[in-house]
Amino acid sequence: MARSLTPPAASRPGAGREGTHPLQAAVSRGLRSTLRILVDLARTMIPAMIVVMILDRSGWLARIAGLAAPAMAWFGLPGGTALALLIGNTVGLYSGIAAAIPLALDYKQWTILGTMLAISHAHPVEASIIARAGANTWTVLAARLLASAAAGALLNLVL
Amino acid sequence: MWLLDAIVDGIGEGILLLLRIGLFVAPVLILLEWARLTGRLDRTTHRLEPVCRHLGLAPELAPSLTVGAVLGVILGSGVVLETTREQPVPRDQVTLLFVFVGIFHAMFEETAAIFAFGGNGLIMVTTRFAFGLAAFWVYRRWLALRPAALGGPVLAPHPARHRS
Repeated sequence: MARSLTPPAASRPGAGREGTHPLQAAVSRGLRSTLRILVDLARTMIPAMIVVMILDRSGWLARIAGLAAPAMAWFGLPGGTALALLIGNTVGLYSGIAAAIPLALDYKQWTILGTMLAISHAHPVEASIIARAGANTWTVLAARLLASAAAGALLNLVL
Repeated sequence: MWLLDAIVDGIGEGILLLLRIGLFVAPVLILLEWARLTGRLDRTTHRLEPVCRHLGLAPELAPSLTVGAVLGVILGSGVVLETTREQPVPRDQVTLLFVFVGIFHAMFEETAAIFAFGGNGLIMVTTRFAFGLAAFWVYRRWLALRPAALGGPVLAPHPARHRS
């Protein structure tokens, strides 16, 4: 199978193959997609950051943390990370990370939270993409949520 | 004015965070583009095809598997659409692919981002991979337990999916 891996949206005919050196093309394309990701992130991450900062200063974050603490203890995370998980699972991975910044997590907690969020994040967006490809969204969603919880609990025991 | 302070701090921290993510993610994306342009990704895919067959995943989905695991869900799903347009693949096979890819995707970019905050990227990748494989295996067993499933509804080719 000599199929090209470049999806139609990203491929410009001849780009990087004629004239320019592949490394040069890679640098320019890589930087361009980094910039695109950062602009994308700025749109969702900075609002998430502002919301969390407001919740933090007004004392609501502490209240939410108090309520969620027993559940989050399963994963060895402080209660405030419940908000990070919620934002991460609905809005996106990077917004979830942003929501955890004011909590001053340590190394182990960052690893656990990062793994959990990386396994399961941005469900509204990614589920629609997965459905468009023709897969059963509910199966994939259930697998990701279960794997996320199991990975959190396991890492808490192991680390 | 704590409210104004919170908003200003939120924007400031947010921009710092973006810079930090960019610093870690940019080299990764450059390397990935390079791997794609020089055909290294294609070669990895060829090596993966027998592995797919062995694992019980349709070998036509091998390109989607590499693109999904390395580059992310969005591009992986684009490759699935391209594949199914030429050659129908059972719906359950696509679900099987995304059970794995949903858990284990964008392995370099997201790991670099987590690493930027002080998590352990290696532990993260290993855990994701292990849980992806475990979920894949469980779903594969489930499909094997109901043999009718794989002969079930077949994805019809739908050429009108890509609108320009």
